[in-house]
Amino acid sequence: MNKIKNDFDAVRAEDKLKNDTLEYIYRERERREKHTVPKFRYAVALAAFLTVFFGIGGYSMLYSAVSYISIDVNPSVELALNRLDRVVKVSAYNDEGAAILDGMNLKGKSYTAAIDALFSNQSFQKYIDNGADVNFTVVSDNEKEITEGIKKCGGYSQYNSACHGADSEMHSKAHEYGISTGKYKAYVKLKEEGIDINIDDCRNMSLKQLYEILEQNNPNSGLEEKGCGGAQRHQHNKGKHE
Amino acid sequence: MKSDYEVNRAVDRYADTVRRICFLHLKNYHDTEDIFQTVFLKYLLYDGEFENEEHEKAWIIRVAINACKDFLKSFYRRNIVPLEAAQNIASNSGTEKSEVLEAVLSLPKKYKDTVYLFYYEGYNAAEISEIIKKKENTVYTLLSRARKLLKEKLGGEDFE
Repeated sequence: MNKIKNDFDAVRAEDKLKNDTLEYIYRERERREKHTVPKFRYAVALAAFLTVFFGIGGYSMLYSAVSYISIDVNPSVELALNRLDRVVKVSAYNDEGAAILDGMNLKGKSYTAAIDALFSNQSFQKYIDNGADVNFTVVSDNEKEITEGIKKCGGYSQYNSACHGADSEMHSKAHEYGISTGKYKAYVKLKEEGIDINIDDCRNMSLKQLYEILEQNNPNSGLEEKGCGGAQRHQHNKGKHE
Repeated sequence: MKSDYEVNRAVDRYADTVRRICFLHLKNYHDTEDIFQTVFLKYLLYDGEFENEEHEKAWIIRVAINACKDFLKSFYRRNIVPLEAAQNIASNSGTEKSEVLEAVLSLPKKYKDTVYLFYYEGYNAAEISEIIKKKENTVYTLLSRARKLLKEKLGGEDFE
């Protein structure tokens, strides 16, 4: 090792510096998000108006995210879709999610192709092969259609899957807390049932664990009317309960 | 915007690297704080995606180097001398610095980044030229001249 490498190695970022920087970034994010949330709603309305007025086509159609699908197994990722239901952005919500997205290029794909790609990804398969549940949470004006599309994906019926919907308010709040929409929705449900749990607990548990707590407390609360895999999953769990 | 998780991860991964680049160019902790905020705020707001960790690291390095450059050029810097620097109480000057580090820090600023990227980060000339946006030949020239200068400063002692 050359001397320069040796000596530079001793130069490290102080903990205080790292923490102060992170605090600054969190404040900046909050400040910026306060401005974008109302804009989002306005922008969607405006985009819809312009689309009708000028016809199909235009920048906003192609690049702005209007729908979100969050996918929680243990890896937690989110696909942002444009008005044409194509992926414009992917985000990871934990280490496992980030590891899976690394090296995958899902942008530009239709959401079904993206989901298929995820299910075919070897690292992703390792999580679902262990019997983990795959939870989809859809935030979209087009929720019904997207949900149907998701359920048609090969991987969906092959594995223990469930699909829930959420509104954009939940989506923004989830982002504020830095967790996926699916987890935030579970958190809200848990609080509604009067269960004492905080956001940090949710962050560290898998969605499956959160729903297990919910079901223990109230066996019907996990089910969705939309007839998603939730019903089947309940059957599965009955056998597995300790 | 990147998620909090991604920003946390970036700070964990690259804080030391950014710190070293600041060490090369800046004289006090307060300036370093400024650069850290600039770099990681840019990261937060960056909407593009990185192909892999190497790609991400190169991006961070470029942003950090440019941030230091801009800072040193800025009006604020030129006209306001922080009390710390005036009294020569700086986090840099407090610590014992090896001869080799002193020599690198005393190089003209156009050599510092190249020397750091080559000898510490282990990038080759082609990779360095991508990061600092200079022609590969220029990088070779900078490196050989820097080597010469360092040899002189270190009294012919070997540093490689």
